[in-house]
Amino acid sequence: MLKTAGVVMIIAACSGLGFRQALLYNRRIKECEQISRAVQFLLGEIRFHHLPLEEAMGRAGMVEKGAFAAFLKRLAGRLSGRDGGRFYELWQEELAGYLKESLLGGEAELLYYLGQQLGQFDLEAQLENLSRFLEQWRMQTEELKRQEEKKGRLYRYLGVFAGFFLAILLM
Amino acid sequence: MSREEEVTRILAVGLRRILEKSAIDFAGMEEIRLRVDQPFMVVCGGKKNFVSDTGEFCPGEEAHRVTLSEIGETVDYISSYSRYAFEEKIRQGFLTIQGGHRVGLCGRTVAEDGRVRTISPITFLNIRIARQIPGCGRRVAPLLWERGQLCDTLILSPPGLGKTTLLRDIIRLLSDGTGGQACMVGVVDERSELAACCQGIPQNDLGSRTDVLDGCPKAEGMMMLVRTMAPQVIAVDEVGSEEDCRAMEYVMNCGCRIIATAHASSLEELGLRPVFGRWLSERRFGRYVLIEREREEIFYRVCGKDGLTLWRGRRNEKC
Repeated sequence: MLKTAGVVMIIAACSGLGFRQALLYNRRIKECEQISRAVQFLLGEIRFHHLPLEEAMGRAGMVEKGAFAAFLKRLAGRLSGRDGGRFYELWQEELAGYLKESLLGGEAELLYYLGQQLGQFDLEAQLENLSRFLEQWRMQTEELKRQEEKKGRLYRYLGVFAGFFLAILLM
Repeated sequence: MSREEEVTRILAVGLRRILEKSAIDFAGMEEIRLRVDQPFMVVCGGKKNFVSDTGEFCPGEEAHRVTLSEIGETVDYISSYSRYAFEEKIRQGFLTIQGGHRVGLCGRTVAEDGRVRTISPITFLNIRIARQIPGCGRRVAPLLWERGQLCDTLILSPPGLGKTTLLRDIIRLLSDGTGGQACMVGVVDERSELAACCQGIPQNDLGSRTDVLDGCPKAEGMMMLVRTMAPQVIAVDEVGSEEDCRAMEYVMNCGCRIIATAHASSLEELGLRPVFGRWLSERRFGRYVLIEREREEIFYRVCGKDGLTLWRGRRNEKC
């Protein structure tokens, strides 16, 4: 009886690990989609209302959901404080804080690059930079989805089979 | 937020600290001038003073030298880190910050097809502190009426004597009906100095019967107001271009009264300008209000359509 319970627990634990790993991919994709929506909102506010970053980010932070929206809201607060530092320095500092909690991997580089471009040049260049970012971000998200499809399945199977393998080995 | 905070928060942190240390009376401050590698200057009561690192008035050679990075930081704050959002204003050489304070910009202009595209880098700033002097137009406003009719009025002075301040107060008085009949006033506030709108909400008191078109080009704004808001009076600040004059002519022929300001130190000087010269000879305006500085005091002179003085008096700031 005890043996059976142990076997079940091992299989369940290993499967859980596999599913969790697959779920992380899923959450990462969701986070990417949230970022995309927030930047899209930012683009709209700048294109239509010609809002400065501080206001556009504040609004995006209020309307959108998730950790990235909270990051935008925090950054908007710091910009309105006018307590020293250039835009990119503040962006870097806040982004570093956000990435500590985030699931993003290599795609975070694009966010640093976006920060370098914001607030510079004229409206046309601003909109172009944001559109380019959104296009690159969309490609990254597509790639993540493809990976999730492949690796997600792999993690789940691997978890379940590893559980069975361990259980057989221990019996 | 106080007037002082509105202005100091847009200064680079280093300059802000200097002003915080200083005992300079902000109430008397008219301008803050930043010029790259030149002494930090504030203008109080028409006097130009250099300010040292410790915040005291001092000779030029002991004053704090303004750096390019301080000007860059200040421009970042003024433009909310978003120069793209103020492209058109930068092209025109000024920005208006919260509270209606105007910041004049100079530096290297980038021209395209003979027109200024932008200023980059910006290396000279003139922050002009706007203030409301409620009641400063109380003696002038009743004189703008003749036989129960408000006259088309032009307020004239060289820069920095308070045309906008007087216009703002006259708008408020007309709108509230103080010293005359209350009027529906439409304001085209292209530079956001009259109403100092923040997200479309006026921060300055322009009276209870005033509609404001904020940030709108004057000529277009005047037409829009006539067509949409049925104003009795239209008020505009700093008219001068041919387009503005055409729009003013249209307004005056629509049964609306106009109250405007323009740069000129006398009626003779105004007469030298093409359209104004013609209007002057045609007696198009019923009243001219001239603002004059005499021994650091400001005087208002109200003239009739023939240019004869009807009244002259000191601006009473405690009206």
